[in-house]
Amino acid sequence: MMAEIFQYTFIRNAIIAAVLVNIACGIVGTFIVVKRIALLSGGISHATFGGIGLGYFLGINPIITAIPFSLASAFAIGVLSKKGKLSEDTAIGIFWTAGMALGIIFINLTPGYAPDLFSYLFGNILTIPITDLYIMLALDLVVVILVIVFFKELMAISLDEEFSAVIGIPNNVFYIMLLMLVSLSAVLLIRIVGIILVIALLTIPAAICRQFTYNIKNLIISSMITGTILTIGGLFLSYILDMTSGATIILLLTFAFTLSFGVKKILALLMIKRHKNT
Amino acid sequence: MSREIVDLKNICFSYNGDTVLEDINLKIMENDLMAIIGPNGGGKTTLIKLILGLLKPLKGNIRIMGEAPEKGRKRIGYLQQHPDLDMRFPISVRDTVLMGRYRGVAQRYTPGDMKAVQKALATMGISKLGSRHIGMLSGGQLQRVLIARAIVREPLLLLMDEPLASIDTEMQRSIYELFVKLRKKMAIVFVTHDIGAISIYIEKVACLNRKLFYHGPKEGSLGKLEKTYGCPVEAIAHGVPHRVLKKHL
Repeated sequence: MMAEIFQYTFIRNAIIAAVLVNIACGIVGTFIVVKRIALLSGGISHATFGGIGLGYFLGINPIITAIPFSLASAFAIGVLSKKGKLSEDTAIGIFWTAGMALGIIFINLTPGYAPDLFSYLFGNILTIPITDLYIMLALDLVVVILVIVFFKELMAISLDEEFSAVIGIPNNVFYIMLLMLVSLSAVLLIRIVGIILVIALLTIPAAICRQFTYNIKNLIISSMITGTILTIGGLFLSYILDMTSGATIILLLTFAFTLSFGVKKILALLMIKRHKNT
Repeated sequence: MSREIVDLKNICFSYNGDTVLEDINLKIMENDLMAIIGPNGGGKTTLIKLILGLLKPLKGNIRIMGEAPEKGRKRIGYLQQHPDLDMRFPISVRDTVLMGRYRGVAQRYTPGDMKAVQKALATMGISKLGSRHIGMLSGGQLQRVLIARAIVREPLLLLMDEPLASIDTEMQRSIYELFVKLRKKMAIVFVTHDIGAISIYIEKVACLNRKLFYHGPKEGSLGKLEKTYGCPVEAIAHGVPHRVLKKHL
């Protein structure tokens, strides 16, 4: 009897988590894909590991320390690549590895065994505590509100930075804001798929959906739905097969992405056929 | 009395110590229709970016309606040479042009903005393309969309970097006719490396190759040439045999 209730709660938490992360992912992932900053986002999400290590070191919830750490790395990567002499990919390479190294050192410095470390790296959607759900909800709200308020500016810098500067948009401010949105989404995702696989859930749903729509709002909404379905699907699959949830979700996403090419091809053929018939 | 829109005084600019522009003086007046010609690497794009405040001059002073470029550039419609557009970007023609009406953070687009977009599309002869995705346009159509995006803010100056490159002569002609129509509302200035692109419609020509040489309307014999040839003359500049513009001193 107890076991059943327990099972019910963690499954319910997992499903709520899947929905919550995919709200942020659908929005931010769309911008990552259309602005082509997937690698940069990968760098930010890996650097976040430094914040996880810091949490262990200080003895507080690593997700809490990951938030400021991740925001700071997003800010630093943005400033360095925009203003500095450093090229963007070099900045990404440095932060990517330095953040992870810092995380490992922090954990070295922490006495005793580091519990759950594996779940931060590879995710474990089935062990999400309720407090983390509240953090996810709060981060979602921040992402949704910022994107609604600054939608025009984010669109303009994503489409054409030179033109957006001329019409009076402070590009760097909004670029760094976008990177910070990426870092918040990365923190949201750590519990689900783990740091190493964050970038997949940020990019793949939008990459699938952009093949079928030319409207950015439809793209955002369809990415949210696709991401949620595939995350929950991967979750059940991992449960049945007894595999790591993060890796199973990513492989299911990859499979769906491959499949979407076939679907796109078939749709295109059908269109041609219908064209010929009329 | 026409107003002065842009004023450049003694502008110098260099990239890593290489002087690109030297002592440039130029005034752009209301309703001007001006071409700035010069070879590749002559500093044309640099000059445009200086006017727009995207680059800072090493020396000299730039004013747009008496204001610094960063402020005054809101009154300029700008057409880039190679806009860094991802043709797969999920946006329609209408929304692309609407971006030109941007006024500031938290300021929504109004029905007036929508009307301005409709008008700009109509001016450019692309009203029917409003809901089309930008990836589905031909090169010429895209160029018209981008000009529409530049003029939709009803600027005082339309500043264009190589607007006629990569379009055929027929299309160039219709774009020129458009310039003539538009100049009633705004000054039109463009840079080009293509001497052949200078047509009878242009009344002010400046030549730019590190230094700027201005050939004012007094040298407006471009129009006369057309009478001589009985057709729109397009190939004219400093070359032999038909010297039209004065020699640079």
